[in-house]
Amino acid sequence: MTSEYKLFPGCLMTNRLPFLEASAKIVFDELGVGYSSAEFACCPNPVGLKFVDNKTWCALAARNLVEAEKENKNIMSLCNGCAQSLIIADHEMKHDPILKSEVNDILKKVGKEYKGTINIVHFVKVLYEEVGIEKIKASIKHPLTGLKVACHPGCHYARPSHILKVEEDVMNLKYLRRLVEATGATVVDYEEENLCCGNVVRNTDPYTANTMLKSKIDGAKRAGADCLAVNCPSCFQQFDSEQPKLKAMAEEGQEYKFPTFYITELLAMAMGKDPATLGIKFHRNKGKEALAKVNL
Amino acid sequence: MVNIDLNVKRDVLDLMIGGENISYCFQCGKCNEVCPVHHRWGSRYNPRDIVLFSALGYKDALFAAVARDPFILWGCTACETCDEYCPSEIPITDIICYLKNAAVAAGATPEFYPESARTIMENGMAIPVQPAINKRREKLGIGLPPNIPVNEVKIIMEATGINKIIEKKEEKTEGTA
Repeated sequence: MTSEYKLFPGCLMTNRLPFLEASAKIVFDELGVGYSSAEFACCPNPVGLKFVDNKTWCALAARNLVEAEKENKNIMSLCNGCAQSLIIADHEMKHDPILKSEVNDILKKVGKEYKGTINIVHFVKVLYEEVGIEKIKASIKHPLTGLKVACHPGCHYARPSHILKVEEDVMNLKYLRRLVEATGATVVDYEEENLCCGNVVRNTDPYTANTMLKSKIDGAKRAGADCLAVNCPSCFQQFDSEQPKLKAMAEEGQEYKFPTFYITELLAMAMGKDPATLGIKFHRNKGKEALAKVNL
Repeated sequence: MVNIDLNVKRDVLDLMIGGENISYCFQCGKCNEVCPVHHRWGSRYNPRDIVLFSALGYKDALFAAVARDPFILWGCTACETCDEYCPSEIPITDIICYLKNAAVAAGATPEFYPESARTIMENGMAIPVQPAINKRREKLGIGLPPNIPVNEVKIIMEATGINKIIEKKEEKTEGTA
């Protein structure tokens, strides 16, 4: 059995997309993945606060790491950005003694000290490596046979690969694909799989973000997919909430109503959970046509 | 005469050298080739130029360009694709992040970034707790979120001095980005 993790859902999931957190908890309970909460603050955002001031970003990440160190438990993140922030901050402090001592001088003011004794892991890695595909397959009661899924693992799940060390081939990621296949659904290849969702550049220039979002959706549609599967709440939000903004750049006859599911939602539905209890209704795009294909 | 900022030059070369290998940008342009933003905008967003100008210490020239068009720097979507393909293993996104930090300190930032930092300072989170979402959480059976240590976050942000940088922006939000 897997050991208990300190769960790090991150602020986007906690305070805006709680149905994603709920679906993840259902899947963990079903598979016996232990988790508990902690007094974590912002990870902080690796594409927000890190751009403002790297040292502040690192010190706040270290404060979170100390919360888990207190209990000697590893952190499991439900978000690409949070996982990336915590892993990179940990890595930077382990490789830069000056930074580590500067951070610890700051943490002293809140009675804390970073030691670097715990690990941080993305939940997709936990599901694939610790739980294992066989055990997940054994838990499937309502296979999603016939559903065609385009995978979007997201940039910060695996990059920079020399630090995150998530999977062997960073430009040909397979864990998310295997998890989707375990639900009984079919993974489709599309050229834009490694392309960024455009979330970060939206803060600078929404037009650029929209062109990237459009490329992703167009690629997935061309490949014959019914929906996208993601493992990052920022990417989820980009795909689920921002598509209406593509209207102005849509070719004639093209509609942008392409549905997105979190991998834990697909797993939970395949485990026999009702989409209504999962909170699929809270999606901007409820994916009714896609779900009807698999009698949901 | 081009003004050379030796601090920027040293910091950027320091980032390039990294921990284990001494690496050096030889301007092959692979970063541009794989960059989705460069594909869309061409020379308006050019990571190869950013690496060259900053490694040479041409901070003034670079920041004058950023002042004219913030997209030159802030167009980076931080997908880190360039980092994966760079044959010299230059941490390009780290260099860009270093320059973004300097740009924020100089006031050349889209308002989103200092605003987001202020939100974290006040709430402990980039996206604060919302009563309506908390109700939804309870309906979904996952209960209220754990307590957020807002006070500790504030103390840390005051200790690093970031509070002054983001406050300063509040007074002169006009003219940025």
